[in-house]
Amino acid sequence: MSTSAQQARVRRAIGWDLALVLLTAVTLAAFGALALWGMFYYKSHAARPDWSVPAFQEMMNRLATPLVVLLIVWLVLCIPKRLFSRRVLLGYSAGMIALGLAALPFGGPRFALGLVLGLSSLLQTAILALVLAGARLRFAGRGFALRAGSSLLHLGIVLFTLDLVALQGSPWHIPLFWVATGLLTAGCIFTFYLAKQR
Amino acid sequence: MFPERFEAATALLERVGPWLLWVAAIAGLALLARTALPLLARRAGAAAEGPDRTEGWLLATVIGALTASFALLAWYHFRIWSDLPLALDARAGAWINAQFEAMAQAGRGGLPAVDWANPPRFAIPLWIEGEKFFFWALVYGLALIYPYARRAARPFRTALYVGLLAYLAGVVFFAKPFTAPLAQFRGEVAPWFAAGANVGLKVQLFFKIYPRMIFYYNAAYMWIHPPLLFAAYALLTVTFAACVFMLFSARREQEREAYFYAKLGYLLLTVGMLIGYPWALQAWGPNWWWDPKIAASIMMWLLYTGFLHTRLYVHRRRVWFLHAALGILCYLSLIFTYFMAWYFPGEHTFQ
Repeated sequence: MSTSAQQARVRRAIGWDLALVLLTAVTLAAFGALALWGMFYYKSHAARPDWSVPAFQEMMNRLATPLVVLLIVWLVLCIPKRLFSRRVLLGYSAGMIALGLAALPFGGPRFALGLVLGLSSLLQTAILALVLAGARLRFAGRGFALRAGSSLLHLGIVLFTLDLVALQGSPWHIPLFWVATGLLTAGCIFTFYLAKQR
Repeated sequence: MFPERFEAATALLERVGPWLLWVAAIAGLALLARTALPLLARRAGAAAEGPDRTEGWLLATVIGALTASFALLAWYHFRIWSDLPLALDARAGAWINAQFEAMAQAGRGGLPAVDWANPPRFAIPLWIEGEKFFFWALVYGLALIYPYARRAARPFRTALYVGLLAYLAGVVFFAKPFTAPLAQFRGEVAPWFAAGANVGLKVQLFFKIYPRMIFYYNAAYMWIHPPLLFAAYALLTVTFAACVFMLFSARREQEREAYFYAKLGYLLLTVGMLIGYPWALQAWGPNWWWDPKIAASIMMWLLYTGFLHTRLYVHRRRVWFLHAALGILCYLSLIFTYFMAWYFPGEHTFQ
C-alpha cells in the first residue's frame, strides 16, 4: 500500500475515533446534567412526607436508561475500531444493533445489553491478546505501552459495564468487579507511566 | 466521662497539635514572603529564578510540622484503640451474642459474634471527620516537593504556596482536627462510658455503637477508599494551579507539570472510587444509586477523563486553552463534590 493511502487510512480511523469521542462526550454531558438535576431534586424533595428514596431511584433510572443504552452502544461500537476497516466497522455496528434488538423480546433490555457487552468483551480480549502479541492495530497513539494501556482500559470498562448491567446479584458480580478494577488500574499505569510521553 | 488516661491523651493532643500547626503556618507565611516579595518588587529576572536553600528549609519545616502533627494524630488513634474498649461482663455479652445469632438466623443482620475475652476496640483510620481535610493538606504539602526539586518558575511556586496557606487556614479554622478532635465519634461513644456500671443501658447502647464500629469506623475499606480520594484531591490541586497558569502562558513545561499531577491524581481517584463500590454494597445494600455525592463524584471523574483526553490534542492552540479551562472546571467540580456533603442529603451527608 502506498504511503498516501496509508495516511488516508489513519486519517479515516482517527475521524471515526473523534466522532465516537464526541458522541460519548455529548451523551456523558447529558448524563451529567441529569445527575445534577437529580441532586437538586433530591435536596428539594427529601423533606417531604411522601418522599421515598426507592421511588426517586426508579424515576432517575427511568430517565437515565436511554442515555445508558446510548453509552453502551458507543462503547460497543468503539471496541472493534482497532481491528476493522471502516466498511466492515459499519456492517459490524449495524449487526450488533440488530442483534441487541433481536435479543430484546427473549430476555428484556438487560439481557440484550448483556449479550452485546459480552460479545464486545470477547472481542476486546482478542484485541488485547493481539496487542500483547505485537500486532499492529489501528490506534490514535503510538508505542506498545500506550496500545496495551488503551486495550486494558477498554477491556476494564466493558467488563465493568457488563458486570453492572447484567451480573448484579450474581455470585460473579464482585469477582468480576475486581477483575475490571485490576484491568483499569493496569491500563492507567501502562498509559500514564510506561507509555512514552510527549 | 471517658477513662482518665484517654482524657489525658485528648488534653495533650489539644495542647500540642495547634502549636505544630502554627509552626507550619508561620513557616508557610515565610515561604510565601520569600517567593512573592521579589515578584512584587518587580526585581529583574525574579520570575525565572529557581528556589534557594532557605526556601528549601522553610518547605521542610512546613512538611516536618505537618508530618509531626500526623504522627500525633496516629498516637491519639492508638490511644482510642487501647483506652476505649467496649467491654461488658460475660453474662450480658453472652446475651448479646445470642441476639446476634437469632438475628442472623432470621436473615436480619451480618454482625459478627463478639469474643468478650478480647472486647471490641475502635481501629479508626486517620482521616475521620476534620482529620480528612488535614490529611488532604498534608499530601498537598508533600506534593510541593516535586516543583521545588524541579526548580519550577517562581510565580508558579508562589501560587502553590498561596494554596498551602489556604489549606492550613482550612485546617485551623474549618477542620479543627486538634482543637475539636473527633467530636462526632466522641459524642457517639461518650454515653457508653458515662453509663458506668449500668449494664442494662450499656447493652442497649451496644446495639447502636457496635454496628457503627463494624461498618464504618473499623471497616477495612475505610483505610483505602477515603485516603486515595483525598490524596487525589491534593494532587489535582496542583494540576488546577498549573491549568490557571496555562491560560496565560504557552509554556510546555507548565502543561507537563499539570499532567504529572493529573495522571497520578486520576489513577488514585479511579481506584479510590472503584473501591467504594463493594463497600457501599456491603454497608448500604443496593439502594444507594443516585446518592448526590456519588452522582457528583462520577461527574467529576468524567470531567477528568475528558481533561486527560483533550491532552492528546493539546499542541493545537485552541485545544491548549480548552484543556486549561477544562482543568479548572474539573477542580471546581472537585470542590463542589467535597463540600456538597454539607448541603445535599444522602448517604454521605454531614448535615
